[in-house]
This record gives sequence, C-alpha cells and structure tokens, in this order.
Amino acid sequence: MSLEPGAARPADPPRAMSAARSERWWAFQAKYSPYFFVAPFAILFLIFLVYPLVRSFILSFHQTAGSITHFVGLRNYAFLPRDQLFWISALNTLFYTLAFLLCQIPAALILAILLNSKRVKCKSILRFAFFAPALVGQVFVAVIFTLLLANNGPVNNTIRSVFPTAELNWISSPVLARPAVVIASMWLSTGFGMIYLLAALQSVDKQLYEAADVDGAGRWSQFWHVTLPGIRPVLTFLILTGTIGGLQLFELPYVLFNGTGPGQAGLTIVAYLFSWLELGEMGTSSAIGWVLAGVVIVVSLVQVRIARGSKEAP
Amino acid sequence: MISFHLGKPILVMAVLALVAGGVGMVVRRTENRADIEVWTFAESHWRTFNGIGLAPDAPLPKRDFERDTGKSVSIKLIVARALNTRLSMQFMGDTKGDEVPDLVEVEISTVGRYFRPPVDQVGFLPLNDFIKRRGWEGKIVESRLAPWSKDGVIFGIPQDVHPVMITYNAELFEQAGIDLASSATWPAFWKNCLAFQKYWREHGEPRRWALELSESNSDSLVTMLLQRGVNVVDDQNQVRVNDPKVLATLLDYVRMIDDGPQRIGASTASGNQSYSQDFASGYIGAMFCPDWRLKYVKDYAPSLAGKLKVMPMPAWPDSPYRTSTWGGTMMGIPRNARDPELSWSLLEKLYLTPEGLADTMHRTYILPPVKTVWNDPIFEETDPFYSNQPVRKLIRELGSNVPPRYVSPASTVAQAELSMVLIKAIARHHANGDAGLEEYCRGLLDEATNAVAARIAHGRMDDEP
Repeated sequence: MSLEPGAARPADPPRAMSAARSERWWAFQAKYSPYFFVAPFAILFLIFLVYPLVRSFILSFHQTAGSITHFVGLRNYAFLPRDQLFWISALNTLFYTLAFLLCQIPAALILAILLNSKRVKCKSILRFAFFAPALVGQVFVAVIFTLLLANNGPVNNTIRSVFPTAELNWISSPVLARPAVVIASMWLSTGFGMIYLLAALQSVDKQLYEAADVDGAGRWSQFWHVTLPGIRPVLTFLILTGTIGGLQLFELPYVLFNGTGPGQAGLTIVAYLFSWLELGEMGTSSAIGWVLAGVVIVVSLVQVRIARGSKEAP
Repeated sequence: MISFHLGKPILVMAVLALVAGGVGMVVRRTENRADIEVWTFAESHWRTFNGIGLAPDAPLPKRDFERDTGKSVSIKLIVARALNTRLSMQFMGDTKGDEVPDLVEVEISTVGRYFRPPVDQVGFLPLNDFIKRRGWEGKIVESRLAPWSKDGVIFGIPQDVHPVMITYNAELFEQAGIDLASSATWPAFWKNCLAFQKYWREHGEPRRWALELSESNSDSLVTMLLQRGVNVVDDQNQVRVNDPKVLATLLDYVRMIDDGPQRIGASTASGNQSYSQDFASGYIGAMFCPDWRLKYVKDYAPSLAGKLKVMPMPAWPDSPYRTSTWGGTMMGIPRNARDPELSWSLLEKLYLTPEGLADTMHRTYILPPVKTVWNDPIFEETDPFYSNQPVRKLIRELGSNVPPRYVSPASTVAQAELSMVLIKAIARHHANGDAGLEEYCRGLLDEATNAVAARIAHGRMDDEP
C-alpha cells in the first residue's frame, strides 16, 4: 500500500505526542532557563551573603555566651556610645583614614607624575618596585615592619648613627605607634594608587595641554586646569576605596603590635569588633559590624554625591 | 573540530575545574581520627608530649598511655588564635562528635572568654570530682587552680606555677659596686638601681637602665600588683582598679619609668628574642623574670652565661609575698568530649605524674604545680648559666608562696584599661612632674573602674546573679 504524493498523511499519534512534549519542553526552557542560569549564583549569594547578613542583623539584638542566646533588643547598640573603647577605636579609625588620604594620595600622585615624565629612566622597573608592596598584603607588611622598626632594627640604628641617644620605640611607644602604622600602610598602598593615577595621567588628552600651552598656561595652571579634571574620576575612586579601606583597617596594626598596641593605638573599629568576638559576645560584635556598615555606606554616598556634584558644576 | 560558544579559555578553565574537583573527591585524604585528640598551642608542649628530641628508648607518657589503654593519641599543634576561635565556635554551637578535641590546652590570657556563660554552661567539664576521686586534692598548689575556676568549679588543671623573680646582670651591678640581692624592699631596690645608673652614666653609658619596665603595657604593673595581693578583677568579679594599693603602685611605677631623677626603667621590644637581646646588650640591667623567661634568656642571650643571677622580688611593706605570677597554661576536657574518663587519664599522665612532668622540669625552668614532684634532685642542682646558683631551688621556694590570680572575661579588659591609665599618667608626669599627679591618677583609676564595671554589666547574662 502506498500513498499518492501530496495526499495528507493520517495523523501519527505517537509522533504528535512527541512533538507536543518537545514543544512543552522548549516552552519550559524558554520560560525557566534564565532562572537555571542564575540559580548557582543566586543560591551561593543567598547562602553565603544574604543569610549571614540577616543572621548577623538578628544577632545584633541578642546577647550570646557559649551556646546561650538572649534577646536584648537595642541594648548592644545603646552600649556602644557609652563604651570608652568604642570612641577610642572610632577616633583611631578616623585618624588612620584621614592620614591615609592626606599622605597616600598626594604621594601616589607625585610618584605617578614623576613616572609619567619623559626624563625618568627605567620606568618599568620603578613602576614594579613601587607597586610590588601592594602584592604582598597587610600581614606580610606588618611582619616586615615589626623587624624594620624594632628597637635595634635598621631604622633605629640609622637614626642613632646621627642621634646616638635617640630612644624610638616605634612598636611600644604610644606616641610613635600611630605614625608606625601610617608609614607601613603608605609603603603598602602608595604604589597601588600610583598605578591607577599613572594610567589616568596617560589617558589625559594631549591636545588639551597643547591648547593650554597656546593660551599661555604655565605648568601649575596646566596641572590645575587640565590634569586634575582629567584624572578626577580615578581620584574619586581612590578616595572612595581609600576611605573604605581605612574604615576597615585591622590586620596591619593587629599584626604589627601583636594586639591593639600601646595605649590602644592600634584599636580600630574592626579590632574593637574582634575583641568582642574573642570574648564570645557575638551580639555586640554584630552590632558593631552594622554600625560600621552604616558608616561606610553613608560616607561612600556622601563622597559619590560630592564627586557627582563637582562634575556637574559649571 | 570541537567548538565552544564561550571561547577556549572558559572551556579550559571549566575542564580544569572539573578535573581538579574530581581528583579531589576521588583521592580525598581520609584522616583517621585518633581515639584521643589533644590540642595544644605551644610548640614546646607539643614537642614534649610527642617526645621530639628525646632518645627513642626514653620514657614517653603518651606512648605508655597508648600501650596501657590500647587507645591511640594524637597531639595537634594549633596556633593559639586559631585554637581559641575553633574552640569558642564549638562551645557556641554545642558541637558534638569527632570534631571536638578530647583535651585542650588554653593560655591564661585567653581563658576568661570561656567563663562568660553560667557555670553549668561553660564549655569545659568541671574537674572537681575527678580531682577528689583520683586523690589529687591538696597535692596541687591551691593558688594555681584559681585562674582556671569559676565560682569554685575547676575547669582546668594548671601546667605551671610561674613564680616571678628578678634576674639581673650581676657583672654590671658588681662593677658598679652594688649588691642588688641585698635589696629586701622596693625602696632599697629602687635606691640601688639609681646608684647603678649613676655609676654607668659616669662611665659613658647614657642608655643603660636598671630595670625593664614597659611604658605602655601593664604586664609589669599587674605583676607588681599581684605581688601586693591585688587582682584587678577579683574572684567575686569585683573591679579593684581603684584600690588604694593600685594607686600607690601606679605612682611608684610612673616615677620609675618616666624621665626624671627617680627613673630606673626602660621598655624593651616585645618578643622573647628582643628583650633577651636588650638584656645582653646591657641596655637593661635587670628584669622581672617568671620561670619561663629563664629558658628564653638562656637560649637567646648566650653571651650572658655566668653573668646573671636571680633573686626574689623585693618586698612591699603591706604584702607577705616575695614573688608574683606571670602567665600560665591549663589543660581542660571539653564538655562534649567523647570519653571524659579516658581524657582525664591522659591528662593525669601528661600533667600530674613525674614521668609526664620530667621533660618540662628538666628542659625548662618551669615549676609544675604538683608538689609531689618537688623533691626531684634537679631542684638541688646549681646552674652554670646563672652564676652557679641553685635556680630551681629558689623557684620552688617562691612557688609555694605565689599569690592567687583570678581570671574572668573582664580581666583582659581591666588590664587594657590599666595600660591606658599608665600611658596617661606617664604623659601627665612628663608634663607636670609630681604636681597633682596623685589626684590625676585617682581620677583615671575611678574612670577605668567604671568602664570595666560597665563592660561586666553589659556582658553579664540575664540569668546570672
């Protein structure tokens, strides 16, 4: 038996069912595949970020000791302003953040300008040399500076070769401890800022300098009116990341002083948080964490708003 | 030709991740847990327990225990901070099973955190019953059980007594014509130290100081306070930072360390190697020396061999003690340990028997708190490094008279507050001398007391009395 060409085939029930199934499958895929693609990230995000955040927020209203937890409402938050160590840690953090911004960014800019100059030789080597400390991390830098700044270390021995009776206990003196952290931190991250600023300097339109030259602008005027506006986005980024880094400072002073340092000079907000964690008081630690998060968010928003405002200004 | 729509690099990374993950799963290291697992933070303890450096046929308590009980023992060396974090988390989560160690060593500066919960919720097992049942009552130095106890419940067995002496460079003091050991009281000691410095200033040593004292850390101050019978947080969790004895000691301390006619002290860099080198260089002539420091000085300052001597701490007029205590370690059994009886048997073997204590006693100067081993002949031996003095004999004499030291979560906070008071007091003395110093310090100590009390109140659990 055979069918003539063009004649309609009788419906094949299994094939029709299969086609329908296939269609449903494609429709299902079209509808849900984006969710499947997003699922791995979403699941990990929920488990490792959202859940801990929510949990820590809930914990911040509790008191914990060992396996016991009590709801205490806002007591942990209310305690912080009454604790002297909280204010010491806040002032230390503010000091370090301002010191980083005021010392590090100008230093990075000077280095970047020098390395951008045609007169400087061996730029690649210098660039790597300045950037290298940023690769090793805070703990390593702290260990190095513990040795460099030791009582009989190379820094003090050099100073004593000029001033024989100088007593400079960088690590144990409350007066010198904070400068020690700033010096170590500058060594660590000035090169990092320099690399960004160097890239920004190199991307400033050369024609603008030529035009400024024609208009009779001097070097300072060119820097102020051409260079700075040209690198402003990078400067904003560095100020923002520097501020956040300063607010979150912990490892460097903690390793340098093997604790919170003389007179709590190394007690930053995160170290203060850690001190409560060490006591097993997760509730107070969480409250401090949320206060810090709030401060970081507010400061970042303010900085972004200022940067945006100055950009939009005529 | 195989093509991959996301590009070759992604394909290579995906394949590598799959292969690495697969290999990792297949050859995953399956570590068999020993029957008894001990966590320690001190490398020296780890070496002692494992018999590292000993002759193969030397007696080893761990090996004897394994032979006698047929149970395997693993001693794990874990960095102190990691050990405390893991243990705290286990206690917090009430962890049970193989993850929980059977025995743990904890250092005195970190033990307070474990005593925050009410006694029946502390993560360590109470040991009073074991001590009584196994006949150890009265055989362990009573004052050394105090740091490891809460409300009379003992949670750890001490490894040491750590009496504090003064170690001094006898050669330098003798050159200056001073017999420092004759200083029976603090005023006499102070006077001798000033004479020592005067001699060396006249002989071209402007940077030679008599005594190691910290200008920012309250360790030495706390050592002096303990000698005077003051715990900054006492056994009733009462803050005693503004005790009149604290004020008097602080005033003396400030005058001893700050520039001025009374100065005898100078800071050294932190770390056992650093202070030993400062001692060897002659930067300092004497220092507070708990028994554990004697070994470090010997190891890190070999040039001082035969030049050093030890003496008891000079006496305070209002205290019977000629010594203090500094540092300490305990061993405890976690409440969720699998077999507490077995854990106790090993603890007993390592910490309380002569075989277990022999290596520590012979290799270091650490005095065990178990009085039954104090008649070991080693206590009569003279020590060439310390000018042929019977150093261990002195340690033993002082060890039976160590003041009690109490530890609570607030102790660390109180000590930190005291450090800040010290710094402010020194700064004030530096600027104004003695004028108004006493009132100023009294105010600082009151403020510090309030701050510590507020922290205790904040950290107190609602169901605690």
